[in-house]
Amino acid sequence: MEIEVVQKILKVNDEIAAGIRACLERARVAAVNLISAPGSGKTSLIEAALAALRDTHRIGVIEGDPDTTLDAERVAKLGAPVVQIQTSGGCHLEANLVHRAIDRLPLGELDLLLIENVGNLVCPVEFDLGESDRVAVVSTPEGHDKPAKYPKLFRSASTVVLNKIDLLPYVDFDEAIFEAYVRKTNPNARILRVSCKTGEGINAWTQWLESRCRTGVSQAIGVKDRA
Amino acid sequence: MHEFSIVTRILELALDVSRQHGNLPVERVTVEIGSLRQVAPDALLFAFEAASRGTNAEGAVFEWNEIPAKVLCERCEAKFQPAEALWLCPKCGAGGGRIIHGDELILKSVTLEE
Repeated sequence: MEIEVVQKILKVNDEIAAGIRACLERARVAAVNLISAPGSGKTSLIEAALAALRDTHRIGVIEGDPDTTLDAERVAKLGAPVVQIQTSGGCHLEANLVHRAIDRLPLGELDLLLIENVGNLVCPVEFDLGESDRVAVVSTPEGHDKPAKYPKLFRSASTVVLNKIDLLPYVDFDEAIFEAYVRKTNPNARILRVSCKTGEGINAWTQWLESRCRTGVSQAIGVKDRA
Repeated sequence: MHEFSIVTRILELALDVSRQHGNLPVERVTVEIGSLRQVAPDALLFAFEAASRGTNAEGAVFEWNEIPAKVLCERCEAKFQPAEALWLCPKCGAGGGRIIHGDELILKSVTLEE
């Protein structure tokens, strides 16, 4: 006996993510999901954001890692409320994990939520977390071909951060090829060139985050209010 | 290995169907996977066999059909089937585009033993 089901397999994740998105919009919190390979500098970008914005913005952080609380400890030193999710070897964050983490953050007091996904360019892409923006982070030693090899991440990201530009003289990374690949996947993506080490370009990163706090959330709500 | 999370959901849904029909054993599950989903069918199959052990779906056939990708160019509105993962519109050369098909991940049907 064949029974038609026709149900989205990730429906539960998508529903929880939609709930998170609605909850964040009500609380006027912009949420950024950072996805990259391990070691590209997600935590460093979060530290840079906290250092630059902590006097003007209230930022919460969710750290996703297979194990340890090392990243949460780094972020906590900068005074931000942080929840570490340990996935016990799991290769990505899912909406239910983020939902539980959000319950442990003072959402009503926040302007911005930074979610550091598990370092991985494939699996995290498949799971909506309820974020308002997805950011793909690539570092120059990884090579310029990442957008060609992992196009789905770049297609789904509103912003691409190219980190470790201070290493450009020492690595085989062709910026023109990289940008052309990004444009093929996502003609509208914003590309930010930064070095967390030297601080070059970090202003553009923190200004973009700031703009997401103000216009991102309020615009989204404004559209709904008018509708 | 996000395939394991996906299989866990497929198994839950299939066992729900079994429960709704007097706990009849699951003989086959049929899923549809869009070609742009980053899911490895072999890994799904392996995970399904492992996760279904000791359940009412143990030994069930795991069948999957691929849905080919179809993209709408957001610049010239041409619809096309991308030949590779990094595609450009064959008509106007624009990158990106809106995915019409290829993102499916659907449990199509569950067959129960009678």
